Amino acid sequence: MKTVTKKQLTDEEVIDRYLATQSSVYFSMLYDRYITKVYSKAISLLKDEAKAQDAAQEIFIKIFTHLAKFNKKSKFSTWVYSITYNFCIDVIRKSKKQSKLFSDEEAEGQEVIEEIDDKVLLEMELERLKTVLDLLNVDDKAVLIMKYKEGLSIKEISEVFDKTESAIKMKIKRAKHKCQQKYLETFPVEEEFE
Amino acid sequence: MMSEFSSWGLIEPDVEPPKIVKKTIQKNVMAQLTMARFIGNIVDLYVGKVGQTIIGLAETFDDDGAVKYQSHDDK
Repeated sequence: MKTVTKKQLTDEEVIDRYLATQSSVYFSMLYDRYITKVYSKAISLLKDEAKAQDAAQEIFIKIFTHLAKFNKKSKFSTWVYSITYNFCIDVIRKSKKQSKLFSDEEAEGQEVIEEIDDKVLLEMELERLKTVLDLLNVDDKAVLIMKYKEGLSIKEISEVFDKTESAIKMKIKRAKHKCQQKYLETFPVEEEFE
Repeated sequence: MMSEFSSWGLIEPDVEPPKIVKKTIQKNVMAQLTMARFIGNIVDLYVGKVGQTIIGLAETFDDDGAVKYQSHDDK
């Protein structure tokens, strides 16, 4: 009998085979590839293991019930990321009763924001960076992590947020600005006095 | 990737879920999907039949039928 090894198949091939056969073999392949990513992201956003476990379960149900709608225009990992992120944001919104985290910011106005050099963010020391990121709102933190940690392109981030690329560029610009502001507030440069 | 050169790569490393959690989630998801598929099949089976009946009924009232009826009446 011909055996299927995990590494031979791309995500898209596994999806096609799962959709054609509904076999638990292909279900398990996709599940094993993404459970750690989904669970990690849920823990990072929800800050609670039990909630992350429930979220991961719901996210996988969503992924598999909507699998036929995955159009393969984007990477499957980006699609999974998008479902994970949006599900967790919904959970946070419901718990905080914050209805519009993202769109509130879009309505903030057309204030001129100074462009922060990537170098400033990339040179932040790890513990300080963690502290500062925890001071940002969940969207700002997420968009910066997507760009600077995960290395997602603007196009991929725009798919996750379901926004235009120019909206994402602005979002990143704002988030960088806030990150630097929080950094300077939390870790002020000590002036030397004689 | 930029993160390779900075602290960003070390922010929020992946957390492997405990094996028991991994298994539990997998089992629950599979159970839900099986249930959804079962309900889907039932709906397809019965709603499908209802749909066929409606299509069949609609065909008896189509334009052709109406013309035929009129012409029959005129006779």
